[in-house]
Amino acid sequence: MKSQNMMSNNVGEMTISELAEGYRYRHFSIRETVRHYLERIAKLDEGLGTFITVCKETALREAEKLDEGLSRGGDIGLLGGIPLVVADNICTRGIRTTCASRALEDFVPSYDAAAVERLKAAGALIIGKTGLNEFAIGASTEGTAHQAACFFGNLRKGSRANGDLTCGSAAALAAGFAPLALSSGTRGAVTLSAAFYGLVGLKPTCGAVSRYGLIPFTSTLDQIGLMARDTRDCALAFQIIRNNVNTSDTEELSKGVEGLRIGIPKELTECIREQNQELAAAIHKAIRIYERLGAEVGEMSLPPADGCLSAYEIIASAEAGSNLARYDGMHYGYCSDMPPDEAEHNLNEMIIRSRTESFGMEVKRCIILGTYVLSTEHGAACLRKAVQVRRRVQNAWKEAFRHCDLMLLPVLSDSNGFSVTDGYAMMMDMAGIPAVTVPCGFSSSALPIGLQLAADHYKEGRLLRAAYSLEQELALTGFRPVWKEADRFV
Amino acid sequence: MFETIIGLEIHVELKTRTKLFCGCSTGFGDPPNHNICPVCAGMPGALPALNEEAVRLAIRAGRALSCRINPVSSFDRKSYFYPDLPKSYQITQHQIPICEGGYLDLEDPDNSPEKGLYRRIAIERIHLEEDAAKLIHPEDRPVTLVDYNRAGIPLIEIVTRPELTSPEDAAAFLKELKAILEYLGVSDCRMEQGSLRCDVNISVRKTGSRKPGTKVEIKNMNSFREIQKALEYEQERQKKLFLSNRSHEIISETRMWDSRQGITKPMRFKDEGRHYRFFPEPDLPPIDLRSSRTLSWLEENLPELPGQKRERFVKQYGLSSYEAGILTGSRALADYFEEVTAYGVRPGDASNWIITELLRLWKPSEDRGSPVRSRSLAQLIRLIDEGRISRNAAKEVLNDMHAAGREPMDIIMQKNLIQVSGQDEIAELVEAVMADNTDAVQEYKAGKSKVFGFLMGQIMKAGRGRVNPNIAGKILEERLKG
Repeated sequence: MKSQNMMSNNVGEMTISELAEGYRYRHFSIRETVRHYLERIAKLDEGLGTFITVCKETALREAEKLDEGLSRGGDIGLLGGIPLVVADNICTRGIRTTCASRALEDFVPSYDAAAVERLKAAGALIIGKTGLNEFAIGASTEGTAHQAACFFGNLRKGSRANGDLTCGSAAALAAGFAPLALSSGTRGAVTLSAAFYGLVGLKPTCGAVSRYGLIPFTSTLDQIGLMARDTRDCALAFQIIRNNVNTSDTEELSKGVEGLRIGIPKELTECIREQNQELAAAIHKAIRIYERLGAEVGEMSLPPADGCLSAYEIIASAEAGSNLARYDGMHYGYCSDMPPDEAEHNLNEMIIRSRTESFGMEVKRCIILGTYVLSTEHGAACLRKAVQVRRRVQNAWKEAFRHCDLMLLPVLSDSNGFSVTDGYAMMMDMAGIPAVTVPCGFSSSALPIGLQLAADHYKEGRLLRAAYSLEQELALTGFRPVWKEADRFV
Repeated sequence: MFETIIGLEIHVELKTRTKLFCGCSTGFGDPPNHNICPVCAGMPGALPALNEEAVRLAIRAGRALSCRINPVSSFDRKSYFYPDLPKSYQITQHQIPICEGGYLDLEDPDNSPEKGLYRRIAIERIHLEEDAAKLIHPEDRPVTLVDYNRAGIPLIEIVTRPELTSPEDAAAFLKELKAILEYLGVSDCRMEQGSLRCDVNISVRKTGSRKPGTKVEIKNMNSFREIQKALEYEQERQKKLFLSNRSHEIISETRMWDSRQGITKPMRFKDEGRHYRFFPEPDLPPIDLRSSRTLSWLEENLPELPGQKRERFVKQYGLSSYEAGILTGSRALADYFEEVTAYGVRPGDASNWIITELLRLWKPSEDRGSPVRSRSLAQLIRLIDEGRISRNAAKEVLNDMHAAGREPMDIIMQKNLIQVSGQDEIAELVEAVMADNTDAVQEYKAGKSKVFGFLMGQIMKAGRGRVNPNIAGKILEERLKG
């Protein structure tokens, strides 16, 4: 048996496979592992604020049960005893689910999201619920009800990432609070923030994983995604949560990339070459590896779609305006403190007050834009146009995948404000295609650099295989710098 | 002179076992908030999944009303804030409904169907949607209670073109529509339970006027009778305003029917100008009926519909259109009639007994079968036919059959109601009566034929109503002449 001390040093770095092996050979118990994670969270998270809720008691209780099962020689599942963090816009039975909003500050669902149910059935135990932008809307938590969620930009010492830098799940993994995260990915929230923190992130095909229990922001652009420390872990969890269970993705991982045609959108790489030489160099290295492994890599044209950003905003806000209408203070969640007789006689006033007091600025902006889109002639015309743009984007990617099996895209993770990779992330959301991010190097300031692979609908197996091949060749897996930085932060 | 134009919007609850978008029961009368789940209670993150049975039933209704069934239709969200709407939007079909462009033929009351004269009322559309929760306003407390059992129950909304021209027509349309939907097994159409609800639009204008009248909507009627009364009241109200040159006071509004006072009143809270912000439902794929599996729904056999049955009853059984109309009023009744005739009863007799006697005791509906079994009624009618009991005695027997659920012969035996038909037995009675009433016999013989009736009455009395009057009459006549 390894010493406890050694485990407590390593626990934050461990992958699912490593933990599972440790459990199987009784190097450590599930309970003591969970306790180490909880201690780490208690020690570090105050400064990071990645969690909205930490499930200390339930996680320890579950761990004990699993330990018992294990000692009786029972099957504890593919993810038996693996701590899991779940973004707080994904419903967890009996665990407060707030969407980082005052509107749901005390909301405890009576049901698990479909994906959570699957992961729990496979033995995973929820260690906590992580922060996000209020209802996953917008690009920063500033001005939202849950200010706490904005602190974890600290993990990267104040540097701003594109996409959703406030993805608490990614930060929690980077800080070594769990080896697996279930999160919602809109506008690159899974893929871009995984790259930002040196993780593997998978955003599956729209429809590949049930959205049931994911509290919707945009409906058609939302998608449940996964983050893990390596591709194997990601593939394992995906195999559990996806709808179609015919093939086994973990077995396919080692099949290699020989014969695969990998396309590189030249518009994006040109732009990167000018902006970020380190990233361009890392991408170039990855391309050389793929070529050496027998893949056929070639540049192709896939320009950023005209009006994509506006179309995205219009569709997302229309859907959000409608999806968030149910938070009226009447059924559940936040209700304005009004004298009962006043509320009785002025229902509209009660609804208005409840919504005014419970939503943050970014959410209000989104609802107002959505209401404009849905209630005016001009708004309706905009929405029609936006839907056309989406169709054009879908067609462009369909066409691209007639000429290649995979698309390789850099992830620009250090620019300020909106970047060109944001635009591509939006296009991928609109096209509903799957994407995976995998670390491919480090910058001179030792920050991770990630690259992104995209494929046609339901080709997650192919994506993970290519990510795995690169990961094996680069052998970066032993080197996980971010969590150490978090240690230093304290 | 004036002309009235009426259009109807009818909401019908579909007879499915579970709700439109979740697996909750649609049972009526369960304890409040018993049949609810995250989906129909509109909890965050819950997603709808379409109940295919509701689609099948909507298609049946559409086909029976000669609608075009759209191969692809879709759902939309209709948004407004109200406590009965858990998601703050209702999932309905706005842009592309499942059925469009049908009609219903109404029998013209002035023309018999034999002449083939019908009035055709066009149906604009039928669409699927979910019901809202039920709000309860207790009288003893200043609160509003919400029962979500009804939230998510599948509905179809049937919208007619404004082609009905009188309140009677509107009532006749609804009666016929209800019969059709019941026949199809699409709904049980119980207005008192709210499984059929109807809003009406009415406008009145001077005959010949080109300008369309101002449309007024009326809500809150709980029976077909009330609908007709509300329309009659509203029609009169508008006519009077025209006649007193106050037609400008007719405004486009929604009025509530007050059944206690028998008048329509403007709604206290206006809901005009409400913007529903219709929006394609992103959580549900379109209903696509082009697959081989769903294709069969479009080809399903429909049962014989009331109109067709009516025609057949007239032709096959020689009934009047009036009788056929009553007997086909519900499928249960029509089936009952045919069962009775299948036991060998003449259709005319069966129709008579059912319409004049049985319907006093039975209000037919899908799940309330006749309290008197068809075989028992057939037996009773046969007993009359065979002269074993009198018509009057039979009515008494039928009442007892209904009350006690017993067979006719049991009651007849117990009450000793068997008709006396034996020649000798009756002859004995006749002779006894004649002997007791020699004066009357003399009067008859002197040519006062009226006395015959008196003597018959005496014979019946003596026989305590059980004597077969035909036989007794014949014997009396013979004896008086002899």
